[in-house]
Amino acid sequence: MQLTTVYPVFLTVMVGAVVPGPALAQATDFPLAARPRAFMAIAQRDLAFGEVLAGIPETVRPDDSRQAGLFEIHGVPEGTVRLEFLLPDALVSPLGARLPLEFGPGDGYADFSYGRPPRGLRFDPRVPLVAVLGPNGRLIVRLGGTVAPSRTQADGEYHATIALTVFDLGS
Amino acid sequence: MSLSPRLMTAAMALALCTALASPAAAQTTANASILATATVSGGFAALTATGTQNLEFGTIDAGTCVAGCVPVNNGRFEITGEPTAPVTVSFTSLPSVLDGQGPAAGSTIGIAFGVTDGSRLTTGTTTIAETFDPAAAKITALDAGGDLWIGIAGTVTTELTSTNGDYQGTIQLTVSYL
Repeated sequence: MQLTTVYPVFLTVMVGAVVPGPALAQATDFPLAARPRAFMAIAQRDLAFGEVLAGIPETVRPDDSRQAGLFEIHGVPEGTVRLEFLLPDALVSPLGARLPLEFGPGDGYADFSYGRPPRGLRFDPRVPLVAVLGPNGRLIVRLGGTVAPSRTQADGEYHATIALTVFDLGS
Repeated sequence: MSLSPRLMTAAMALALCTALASPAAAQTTANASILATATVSGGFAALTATGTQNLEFGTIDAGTCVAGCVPVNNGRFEITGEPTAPVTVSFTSLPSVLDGQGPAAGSTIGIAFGVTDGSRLTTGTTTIAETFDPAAAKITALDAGGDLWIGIAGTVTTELTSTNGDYQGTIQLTVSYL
């Protein structure tokens, strides 16, 4: 009974000490530049077409700072990654009505500006892209698109999910 | 608080495993998803179609329907949408037989639809305003209230040897804006 009381307390302390990056680097004496970083993709902003009119196509450009979809990828500085989008062909209303959604060859934008004036590369989000993370280990990816409501498009809210999978190809 | 040497060794080994399995060492893919959203306004009201009355032939005598029996209740669909909007109505599934249920499972009886068995009803009534061939698409319009009622009739035929029991089939209607 005494052991089962002590063991979980000790285990909690040890796990908490090794999971965060800085603590791990300190324990293993990694040089700062080689400090392991978590590899992750973060959804930052939805692709929002806002209010659209029946019969009139609406396009959101990938460099639109308010409406373009936005992902942020974190990993090893200068690391190579492969991006693959899963793109729906329509938004769907709660009643099941479909609003066609299209992506063109310039609707993806890999932003290498690192906070400085825009500098990046347009790409076709319909095909995989291999890119290199910045010196800060980050890459911003923006996504535009076009919805094409029919003349008889039913009123209402429409949604769809856009998924991004990022593969770590190493440094 | 003291730990036995064996417990200390086990705990340290587990901590080392946790460190080796940290995300930076093992994770090679990452996933994230966003929503694409839009709000449509100024468009047509959504179309809805509901089957509100089955096409019923009631209880029939196998010997009296060899030449065909008409329904006791016509089928009815109620459609709602944009007032006065033109639509196409199609019976996308009209069975040629009804399938036996329960004791009659595996048996069928025939059903046929004539060129006047499709109908547009005066909304809110069973009064037939016009007839049409249900085998072909029908172009019509919703009324000023955004309603359209469509009826369907038909004829069943039996054999003298038809098995007693219930028979049923599915009639499917599709409506779309022009």
